[in-house]
Amino acid sequence: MEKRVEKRRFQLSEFREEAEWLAAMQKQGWKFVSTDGRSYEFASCKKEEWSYQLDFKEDGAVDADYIQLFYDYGWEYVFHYGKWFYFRKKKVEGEENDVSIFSDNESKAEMCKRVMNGQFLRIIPLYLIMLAYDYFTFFTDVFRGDTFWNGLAQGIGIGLMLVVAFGFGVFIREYLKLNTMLKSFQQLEK
Amino acid sequence: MNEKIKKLYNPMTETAFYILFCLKEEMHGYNIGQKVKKMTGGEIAISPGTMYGSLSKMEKDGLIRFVREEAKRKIYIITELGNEILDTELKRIERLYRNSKGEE
Repeated sequence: MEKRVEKRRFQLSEFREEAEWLAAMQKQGWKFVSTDGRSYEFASCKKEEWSYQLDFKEDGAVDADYIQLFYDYGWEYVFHYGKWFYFRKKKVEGEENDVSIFSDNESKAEMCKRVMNGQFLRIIPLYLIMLAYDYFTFFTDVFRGDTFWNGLAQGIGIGLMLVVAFGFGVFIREYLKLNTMLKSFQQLEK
Repeated sequence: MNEKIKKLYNPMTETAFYILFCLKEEMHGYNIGQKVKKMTGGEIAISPGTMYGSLSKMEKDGLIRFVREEAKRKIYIITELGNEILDTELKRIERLYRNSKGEE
């Protein structure tokens, strides 16, 4: 079986786009095997129409009953990367295909909430550590001095500041996007 | 605590209502889905992500409890709190129906 690796980066709010892309790949004869969040491995297969769906499971555990439930519904479990679980189902011609693993807007909104809470709240402590480091670098005398180590510590401080600034930008953007998505589902509920 | 949960499920979604209603008997997720489909003439299909999320949430909120596992399928049943909440919801729906029909 031929293998192929594609580099592609999807943001947290782009799980639907990711699913569509995976479906498009299989239509071209490449079925999804695994991912590390940056690159995706595919194996050659028949050119077929499959639906892909991502679920966000807060504990990230591959529970047998969880996989079984999806399997009973005809969804094949493919892979999980952290808390992201990938499922696929073959499309049947002439039949109405329920291509979503969520059947009501409330559960779609819940999924957005899980992503927001599960993923974002976890990086906040990391940000605080980086900010604390920067505080010591720029506002105290801890790393002041001419030695090589002081220079290195200051360099790291500047590097971290860039990471924090860039990361924070992405963070805000993704958070707002997910929030908009969440609100749209909640509005449809009413 | 219970008051807060009662408020959360009043009113409840159609999905939540049917899941809770089905769990008056011991049942696993896929069974519930099948039963609801039959009861509603195929009108309501609960997808697996929705089913799993609802069951997990209801278990956490104490509306249902896990009974046992059979061939990798978790079987649940309604709790006392769940029954209470379901009754409240039924009364609400009955009132809705009565009022929409107009008083005799």
